[in-house]
Amino acid sequence: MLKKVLIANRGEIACRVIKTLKDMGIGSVAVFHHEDRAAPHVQLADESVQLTGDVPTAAYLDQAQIIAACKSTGADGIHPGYGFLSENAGFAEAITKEGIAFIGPDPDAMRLMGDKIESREFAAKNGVPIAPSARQTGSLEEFIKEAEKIGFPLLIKASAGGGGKGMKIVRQKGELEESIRVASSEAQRYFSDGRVYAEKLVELPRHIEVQVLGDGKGNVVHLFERECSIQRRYQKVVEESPAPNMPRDLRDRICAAAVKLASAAKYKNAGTVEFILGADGEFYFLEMNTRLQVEHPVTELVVGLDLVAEQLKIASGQGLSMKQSDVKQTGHAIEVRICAERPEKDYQPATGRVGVLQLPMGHDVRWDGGIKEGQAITPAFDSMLAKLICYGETRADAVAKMEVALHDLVLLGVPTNIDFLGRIMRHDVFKGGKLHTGFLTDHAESLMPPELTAEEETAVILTALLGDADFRISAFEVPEPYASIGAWHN
Amino acid sequence: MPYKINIDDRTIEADIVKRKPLLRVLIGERQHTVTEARCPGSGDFEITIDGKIYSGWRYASSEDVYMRINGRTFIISAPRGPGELADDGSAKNEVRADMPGTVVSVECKDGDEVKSGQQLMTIESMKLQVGLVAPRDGVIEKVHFAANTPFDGGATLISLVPLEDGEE
Repeated sequence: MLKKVLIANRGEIACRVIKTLKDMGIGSVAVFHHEDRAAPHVQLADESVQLTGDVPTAAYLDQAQIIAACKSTGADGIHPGYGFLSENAGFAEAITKEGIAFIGPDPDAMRLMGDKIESREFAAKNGVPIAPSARQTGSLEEFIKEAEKIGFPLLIKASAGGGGKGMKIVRQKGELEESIRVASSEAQRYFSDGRVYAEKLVELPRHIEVQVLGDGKGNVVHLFERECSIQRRYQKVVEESPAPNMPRDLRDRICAAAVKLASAAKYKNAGTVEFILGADGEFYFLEMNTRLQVEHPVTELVVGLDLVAEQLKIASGQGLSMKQSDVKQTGHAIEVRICAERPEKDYQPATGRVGVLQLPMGHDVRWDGGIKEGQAITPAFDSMLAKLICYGETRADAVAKMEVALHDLVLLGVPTNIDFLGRIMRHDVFKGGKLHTGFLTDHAESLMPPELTAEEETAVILTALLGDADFRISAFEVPEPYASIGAWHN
Repeated sequence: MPYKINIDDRTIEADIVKRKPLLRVLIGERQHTVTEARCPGSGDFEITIDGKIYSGWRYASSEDVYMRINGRTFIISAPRGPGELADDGSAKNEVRADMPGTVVSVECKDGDEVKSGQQLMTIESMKLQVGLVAPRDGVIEKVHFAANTPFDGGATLISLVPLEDGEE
């Protein structure tokens, strides 16, 4: 087993990994940029090493500094978390050469799955369904012709992309050329790779993904599916397991397809195979994420496993600790992503300071956070602050617990989506479990904050005033004759 | 001399009517009695308004007051006391950046006549692209940042002037 692990990440995921390291008696090393010097992940780890960078994110991407930090602390493994270097095959290779274990897949699998076009071809070759598509091999004119053959509506996507960057929906022929141009320029800017491809647009699509674990020798188990259809700007907001309203045989077929793909790739460590599921019950391979996902806790709660622990065992050469028949999906788990943003203003990211933080309590309530009171929320990093996860015997039970947890959660000092998430939980369509990725757009109006009642308005105004030092002085401390004069202090 | 509180787009006036024996505050046209008030600038509070107890959490930053009351968060700009300068509306003549970022593209140029809501610029902050729109009808006086230029939080990105003299 690994003795000491460096976490090449920050925020909630770094804290999450450190917790398991502590459980397993493995040493932990945090890395941090100056801006994060007092962050929870630094305080939680056994040791920490400061990294420098022109901008804070650059520090967490600096491979040479991270390798040097491993050497100076004696760490024999690196957990990359998600984002940053987690899907960088070159980094995995570089550290392996230095004798440091990469807690993740082999570089070849990362490269294969990191390329959208290659991974799709690999999926098709191995009998995993993919959506009809076209890629640019020759001139733009030819590509347009090929794309038209798929039929409208269609999607233009970045070959090297993810997270919706460089993605465009095209509903008619006239928009095609311009959309390709825009998508390609966005792809160039985000991924330094302007290649794009066209794909059939699945209407009312659900985002269903399957968690897998592989030993690198072709043995793969799945840990069932997650539904991640509640998205904004192509980024997930609410995730759950199991997927609601999904027939048993469809679930089995999707999970089997994921295992088939991961086995064919001789996939090692934890990964997620993402599918798009249409209203017609057809599903297509979307991509494989070769890392731990943000939403992994919902799987942990329904299968009763610690995914980080499994990752560490696999990276230490112990192989899979379970057979497929050992894995049971029990109960229901829901996760919401707490973000610093203004949902009512087109999800504009927000900044501020965590002034008050009060966490909800309960047996089945889990908080995966990386923030604390006093911490500044700056634009330097991602707007996701924490995740709140609830478990219940049934979906209705889990949703009810989440409603209470969101009600009890207090995070003041930066605008967040907490109340918006509460409105999602209370929404009839969400409660009914009839989900698709257009949910937030379709129900944007009914998810807006309700008008203040007269009583709420009075309470808000008086609370605002009574906590105001000037108001308190003039309300409570002004001797009566002066106070009667009015605004004496001006 | 009343205090002014902005909620959404409305300005509400509140004034102290009576201090003793009980604090009475006029909000709009209605008077309210505050009997108990434990309400620090930041932390948990409990106040009794017209005989009903309200409790929750409050936090004040330099500009805003955040309140958590009955499972709902309210964010309003800090109350303005008597004599403090009122908002003169000049903000509507500028498109400002809330936080640092980079200009992705500019969809207008100096001298353009624009309509309220028309997209003027696309910026990227915190990895997200956001379209900035004209806050009012007017003429572009100056575009302060070109495409691919970084800007700081609070920077004025575009200035507008009214369409014609006297028209508003």
